[in-house]
Amino acid sequence: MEQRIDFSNNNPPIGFVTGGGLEANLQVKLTVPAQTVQEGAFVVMDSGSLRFYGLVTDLQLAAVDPNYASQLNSERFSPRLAQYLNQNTLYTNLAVMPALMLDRGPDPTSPEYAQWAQARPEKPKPISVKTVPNHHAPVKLADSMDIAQIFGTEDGKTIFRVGETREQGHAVCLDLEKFVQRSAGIFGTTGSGKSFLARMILAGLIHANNASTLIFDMHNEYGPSSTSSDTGKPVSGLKDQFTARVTLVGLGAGTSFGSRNADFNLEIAYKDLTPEDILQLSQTLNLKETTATTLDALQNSFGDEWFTAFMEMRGKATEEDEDGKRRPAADSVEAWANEAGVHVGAAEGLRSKLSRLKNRPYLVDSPASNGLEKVINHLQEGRHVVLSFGGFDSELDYLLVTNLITRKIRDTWEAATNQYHKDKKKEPRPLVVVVEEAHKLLNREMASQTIFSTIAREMRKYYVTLLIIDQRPSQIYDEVMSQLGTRISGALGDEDDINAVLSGLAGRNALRGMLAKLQPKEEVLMLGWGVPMPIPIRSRRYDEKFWQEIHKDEKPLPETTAGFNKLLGFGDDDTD
Amino acid sequence: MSDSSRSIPIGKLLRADNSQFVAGCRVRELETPSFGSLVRASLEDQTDVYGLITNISISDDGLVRQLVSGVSIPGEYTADNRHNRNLPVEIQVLTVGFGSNGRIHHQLPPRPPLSLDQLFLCDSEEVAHFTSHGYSYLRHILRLEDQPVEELLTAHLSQARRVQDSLGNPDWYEMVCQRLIVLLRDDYPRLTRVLDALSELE
Amino acid sequence: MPVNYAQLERSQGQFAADYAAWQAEQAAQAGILKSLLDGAAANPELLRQAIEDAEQQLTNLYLAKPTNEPILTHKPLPRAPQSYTLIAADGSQVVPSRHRALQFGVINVGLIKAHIGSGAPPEISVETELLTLNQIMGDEGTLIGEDEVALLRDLAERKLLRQAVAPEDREPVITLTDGPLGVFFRPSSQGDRGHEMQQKVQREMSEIDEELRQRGVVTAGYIDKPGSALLSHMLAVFQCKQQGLPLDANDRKLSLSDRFILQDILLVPGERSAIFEAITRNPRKPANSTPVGFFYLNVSSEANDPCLIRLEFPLWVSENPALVDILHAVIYTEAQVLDSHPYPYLLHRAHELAVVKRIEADEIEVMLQSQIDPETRARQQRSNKDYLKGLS
Repeated sequence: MEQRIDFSNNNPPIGFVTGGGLEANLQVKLTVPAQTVQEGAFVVMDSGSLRFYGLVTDLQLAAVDPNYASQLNSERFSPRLAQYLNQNTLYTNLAVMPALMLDRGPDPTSPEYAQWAQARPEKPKPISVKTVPNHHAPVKLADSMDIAQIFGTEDGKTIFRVGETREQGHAVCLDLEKFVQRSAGIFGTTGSGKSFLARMILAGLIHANNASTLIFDMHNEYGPSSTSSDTGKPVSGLKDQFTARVTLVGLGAGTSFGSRNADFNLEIAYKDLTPEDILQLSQTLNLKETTATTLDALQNSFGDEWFTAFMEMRGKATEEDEDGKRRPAADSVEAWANEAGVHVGAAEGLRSKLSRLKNRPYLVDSPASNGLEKVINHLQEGRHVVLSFGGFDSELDYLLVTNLITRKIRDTWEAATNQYHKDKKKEPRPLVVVVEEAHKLLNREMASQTIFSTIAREMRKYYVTLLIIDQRPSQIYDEVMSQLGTRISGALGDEDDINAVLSGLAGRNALRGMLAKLQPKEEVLMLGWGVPMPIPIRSRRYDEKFWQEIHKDEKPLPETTAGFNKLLGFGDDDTD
Repeated sequence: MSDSSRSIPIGKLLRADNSQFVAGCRVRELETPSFGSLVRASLEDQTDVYGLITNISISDDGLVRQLVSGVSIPGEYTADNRHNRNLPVEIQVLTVGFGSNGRIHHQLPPRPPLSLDQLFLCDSEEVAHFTSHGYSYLRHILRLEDQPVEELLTAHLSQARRVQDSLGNPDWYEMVCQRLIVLLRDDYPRLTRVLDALSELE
Repeated sequence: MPVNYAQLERSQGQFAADYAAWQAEQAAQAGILKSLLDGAAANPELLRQAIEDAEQQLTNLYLAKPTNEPILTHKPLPRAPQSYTLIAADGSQVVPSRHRALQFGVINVGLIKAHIGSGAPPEISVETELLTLNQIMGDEGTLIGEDEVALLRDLAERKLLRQAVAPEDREPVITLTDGPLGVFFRPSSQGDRGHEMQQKVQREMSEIDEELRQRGVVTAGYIDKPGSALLSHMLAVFQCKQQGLPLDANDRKLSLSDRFILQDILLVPGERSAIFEAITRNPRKPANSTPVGFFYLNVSSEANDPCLIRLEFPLWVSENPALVDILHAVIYTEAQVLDSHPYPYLLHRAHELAVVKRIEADEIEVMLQSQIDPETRARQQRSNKDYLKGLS
């Protein structure tokens, strides 16, 4: 039954509205000592039947007359008089950024309330602010009810507690349903606690299980357990905590994770390579402009096997012909180039560069099993895949593998979506692709070429979104940044990085200062689509307690496969 | 409250208007009234008009001027001038409120006192009664232009504070200081002068 | 209305010339008198004889008679006593006027008594006497005149002084009034009633004088800017004796104020002249009046800038040189309190206490009228002339 929301908020007032407006923030005169209020405090202002929700973005010292402030009154007058003087002439102003407002209706104890409530059967919802509170509207710190009203109450499922308010420690939640509806970003300088934050969010996602995740774990941080370099304490890995749901995949045969083995290893067949994959490596491999043409020709000539065929060609091989004259060998690059009408030098150059790829151990002609397909199946079944790169942590590896796999997956999802639109039978499972070092994949130069920018731009057209984790958001193509929904950021020092995180969000200049002053490893700022209003929080610790809280709602794992399937949200349909 | 037997008569009304009045007294009566004291003039209709002494002035006349320029004056003749001669001593009073039917009001009275109405010095009880009613009477003092407001405040508050402290209300003085600060905080030069003067009371 | 200054301007020249001539004449007279004074000083026996003859021969007599002090004596200021009692009295009056609606008379006397050396403020009192209808109304229905009222006033002053003397007063006790001590017989005191009044006043005054003498109280009369020619007349008689003329022959010629003679002698501030007896005799004056002595005193504070006053006192005082010195010193000290314009302070105060302002006189009239039955009152009226004068 509909529970009446309690708007009582018994916090004492900390000040009252004196001026300002929607555009330039509200001005509030503080009536309590300045040290009790911090930048980023979440406040409520009541005016008439409206409750306004806002964020403190600045504190300014002020005085009735500058002379009171510029001299020590205690030096001139007796201590008691100086104290009164200071109390009455020196004060602090807050700048408050109004974000949301909500119509509470008349006083619940009054007769009008019943009528009003009847006309509005649904819960009053906060909407973006459209008007201003009156002069002298009292300002209070938000209480836990206010936070819950805006950010939701933790439900052990998709409303996930990510932290608490800095000033009073009220729980703040993230709506993971909305979170996965757009591509999102987790940012912060190195050492800002970005990885722990990401682990926490991923744990929440896996636990909520409203989408599958594919995590490209470049530095082996997420899948396996490890030890914190700072504290020396063990850090639980996702695989250890969610053993059944998480599939740990190692790139290349033989890749393992300390004591733990991968669930399976991934080898990529040559025939999985496409020209797009190669072109994305243009910068890394220093490919020429002619590469595209050459690749096209190769594909025309050999189809899917183009890479195998290309690699089997011999470079600069000659043979003698019937006349005894030297001519290019039939299996030489030159021979083919001439035949295909491609510049010989370009082809030869390309081949020598591509031989770098051929040498990668995980790229094989015939892999032991179809790893890629297995990954895709796992994801479709609703599991979460952590792809660990093992020792293959070069830029080349990262770029190639992430792009290739993601492209394949997206194609699969696109097909499934189109099918679903036709027959409305099986809706594709939402998928979140988690990439780190996103600036390598999504910078301006690469933006047009990678699959990631496409996904970001498509905005879940095909049920696929990104979660990018990065320390240099300014390097990421700003068109992509501006398309991000939720952004969760730890401390950022660089002004360009700060601008980047705020990119695409109107009127958020007030938050710049906040971003620069976040406490590393402890505080983050959440904002953007998916977050009702920007809010700085003390992030939840990723520790023993966290895991106890996560698991306490869980029922014990089923014994049977069928039970397992049910757990994963699938009925009697076949899995792999 | 009219004509309490404890109240000390200190002069008689000479002239008055709505916001101030002047009483005259003899030099020998000059021992009791002092600058800043709270005084009371009783009207015929039993209303009491309260005021603060803002100025006590002693005039001269021809004979005094002659004597002043003399070489030496016997003590008896100095006493003669002070006690026997009708040298006018004028006591200037700023109206700060009135009492009617036992209730104190800090507004200006509807009518000023009349000639020859007796002027009394308020005793501790009257001072307590008048000052316990709030602080809005301070605005009359702050309105003065060509008189030493700071000195007047200090003299008056010194008296009132003593009375209130003895009644066990040390808060009264704290509140009045705060009120003054609030009233004057937009006039920095004035407020600092007043606080300078009050600091000496601490 | 404004004065016709043009006319005045025309006359002022002649007036100045006449005045200058008169002053020159006076100066000449002064010269003669000074040499006569020297002559008389050199020949005291002749002077004594001349005065004795005059006393025997003349019915009207107005001259100074030397006492045992040489006539050129100029005594320096003695030390004043540390403590003494000084009582001053002055009177003022409202004279009945036919112009008023109501005819009434008032005598107002102010008295001030100082205990010098005590530090205490002087005692003051004011006595206001409403004259009886009998006193102001004569048999013929004529109103009493100003001179008669003045006589009554003089008496009232003396009575109040006598009343003011108390046994516990520090001695010496000196009383002070403004003007000569003797009853001054004014010409306008005419007729039987006037004469009768003078006799009566004189008798009462003599009684008071005697009482005070017995109590050792010195009564003094202070005359500021004295115009009397007592010494001049004495020298005139001397000259007549010298010249063998009848003793009243030179009266007119040498009638110059004494101060012209003495101001070259009393040059030092605080100096006094020799004591003389004031011999005044005329048919109207009774023979039993108290003998009066006097000296001239320089009350100035500057050397060579004399300011002479004449002080009268009962002749018996002159027999007590110590008392004379006390009187001399006290009067000078008293006048010096107002040293820029020397005059006895207490006399000034007594005057201040006695003065009746016009407005006070009017108020008394109103007060009296309110006592009279309204019907009677309606028949009285202020004179129209007087009313119109009162308009401003």
